[in-house]
Amino acid sequence: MTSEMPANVRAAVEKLMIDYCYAVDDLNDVEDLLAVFTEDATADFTAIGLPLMEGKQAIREFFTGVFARMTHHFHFIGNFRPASWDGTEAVVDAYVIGMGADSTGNTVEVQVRYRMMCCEVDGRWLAHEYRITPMMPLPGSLDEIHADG
Amino acid sequence: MAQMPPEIATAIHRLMVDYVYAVDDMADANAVADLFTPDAVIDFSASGFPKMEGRDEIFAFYDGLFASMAGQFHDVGNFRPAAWDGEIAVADAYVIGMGQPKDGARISVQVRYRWECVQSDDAWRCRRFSLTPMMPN
Repeated sequence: MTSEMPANVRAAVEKLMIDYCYAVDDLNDVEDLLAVFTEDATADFTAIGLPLMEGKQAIREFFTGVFARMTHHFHFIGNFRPASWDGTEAVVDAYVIGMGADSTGNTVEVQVRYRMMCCEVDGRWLAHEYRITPMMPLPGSLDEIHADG
Repeated sequence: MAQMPPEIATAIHRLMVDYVYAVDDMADANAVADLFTPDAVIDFSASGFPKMEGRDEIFAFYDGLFASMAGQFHDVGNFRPAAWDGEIAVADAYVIGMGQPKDGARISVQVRYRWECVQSDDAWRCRRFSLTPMMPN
């Protein structure tokens, strides 16, 4: 049963998505990024040719590699929209223009959609499932830049 | 001119976002047409695209568009109420639009949307949608 997502929940999960982008783009501490997820979170990037990560440790290993390779990141969120709300789980979507550059000079730009399925744990909203789907056809440089991710 | 009530501005902004999701899903032209009044006018002529009058023409345009495209992306920003007379809500937004035809080169535009909206039944719908280019093509 889906009803309208309460304004405070909507604001909290939108902030969570933005916190995720800041953490990814800081390229500083993977733990800042992991703070967005539940312990058993799943991150499914298979629709853009990247891994399916099951659990925080798998997410940590993927992004540790990404942070080591990338010199610049820019993930710009727009069109934030609640998708469903059942009283406990908040499912939200957003458009993202994502850009990156690595230490060898490769660059990439993608236009994708994020979906985060979020729940409240100990008073904090966290993502327990996160999926990326492509919107515009993906550039070949995405495979190159995250080939061993 | 009165100031648009915040809840109406929010409703119009969400209607615009629903529109770009429906356009970019490329699944069902009815999902787009349902966001407009039956007699709505969509005028894309300033960008070299058609002017559509009424639901049938709107449906036909998007149905044909969806069949021809491999991917679309319309990112709405700078949403701003423009006018409110107690019945008609007019709002603008900037849009970065991208499209990849199945055959042909990628299109990228920077445009402004203007929507005139009215409440019919229990929902806000757009009755006039015009597009203005901001950057040269």
